Amino acid sequence: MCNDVGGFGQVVSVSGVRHSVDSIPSTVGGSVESGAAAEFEVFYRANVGVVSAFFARRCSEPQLVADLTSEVFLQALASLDSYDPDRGSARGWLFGIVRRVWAQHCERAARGREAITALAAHRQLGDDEIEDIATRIDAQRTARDLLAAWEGLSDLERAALELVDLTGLEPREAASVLGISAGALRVRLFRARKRLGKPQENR
Amino acid sequence: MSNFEDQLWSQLVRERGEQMRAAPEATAALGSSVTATRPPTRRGPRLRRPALLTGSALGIAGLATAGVFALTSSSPAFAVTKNPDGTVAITLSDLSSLPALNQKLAQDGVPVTAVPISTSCSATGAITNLSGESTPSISASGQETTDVVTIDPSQIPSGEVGVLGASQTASGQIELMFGDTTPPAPSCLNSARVTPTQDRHAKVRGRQGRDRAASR
Repeated sequence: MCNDVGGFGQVVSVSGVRHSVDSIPSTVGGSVESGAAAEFEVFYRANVGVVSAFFARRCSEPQLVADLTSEVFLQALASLDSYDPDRGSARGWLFGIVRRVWAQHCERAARGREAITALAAHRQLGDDEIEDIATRIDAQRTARDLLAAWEGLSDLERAALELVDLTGLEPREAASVLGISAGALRVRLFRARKRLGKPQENR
Repeated sequence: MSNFEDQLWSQLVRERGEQMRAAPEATAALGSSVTATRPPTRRGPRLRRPALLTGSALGIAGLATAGVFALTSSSPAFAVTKNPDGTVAITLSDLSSLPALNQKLAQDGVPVTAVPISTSCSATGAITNLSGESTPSISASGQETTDVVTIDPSQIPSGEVGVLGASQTASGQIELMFGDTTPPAPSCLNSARVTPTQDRHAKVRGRQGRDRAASR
């Protein structure tokens, strides 16, 4: 896990174009499209919460959580052709992107570069959105503490535990995200739970 | 739906709606996946959970987990599958196939000996107590694709061998338990000294495991 970039209330330096909240169309709060967009909206709304929670466990700055969440769906849209239902679940595919976006962010942060540089649709959050995401960050505080306490685990064990126990992926989905077999995932999951003294679950 | 999520969706539609419309098949698959990934409906009755065994209660520490398989007369007796990551998946549906299973394990270079668990067995002294950390990891899955007991041989301490205990319940199910010991492995395990704990973690449904247990 790389360090957070910026504390709460700070604006992460970005080079992307920012749009004011006022520029956002008023067609929010429900299905606004039909056809392909409506299909993607179903997928988006089913997953945006767990995606933002993934970043809320790692970042304390709402703007960064928003940027990374946005980046995930932007990359998903840019790589729709890469989704093959025969190769795994849609959620597993999406979390592959989630992990890639986080890794890209960490790499940039490690190099001292701007944390977010590729967000074409980056926009500055409105106050209500900041409050919204700050609430999510607070809600993930316990999970964030857990992640910090998992230092004794291997990266793979920690990732398996987070994807299955915190994110809610099925083991086979988590295995797909991590590029290992379902059996290997279960071994890591069992080992991680055992080390943490966590009751084993039937999944 | 929260304010942030609504705002982001609106922005995606406005700025990337064309990408969505350009890939109708992919978006349809993604949309339909949401329904498909909702909590699964189990296809059959769940068998009882297997038990985790503790060495202190048994003198057999290191027994890590157990899997339960239902028996059918038509199902293949066992399967040993080596995964690319080095783990080994084992299924068993007939105690009479233990010799053949051991032959297969030896043939594949898997340092595990399968033995029966019985009430009359007195050969349990060879099992070595192990700490929890060094207990070999086992995963017995209830997922449709992984109804097997999976062993990670790399976790067996150097100089020791794995022991896979197998017993048959009154209902005909096969119960598998795994531990490790200093060689030679015992010829059997005594069920009276095998006490389940509350630390249960594995589930295995029999049908899918049986259906895939094809590599004799």
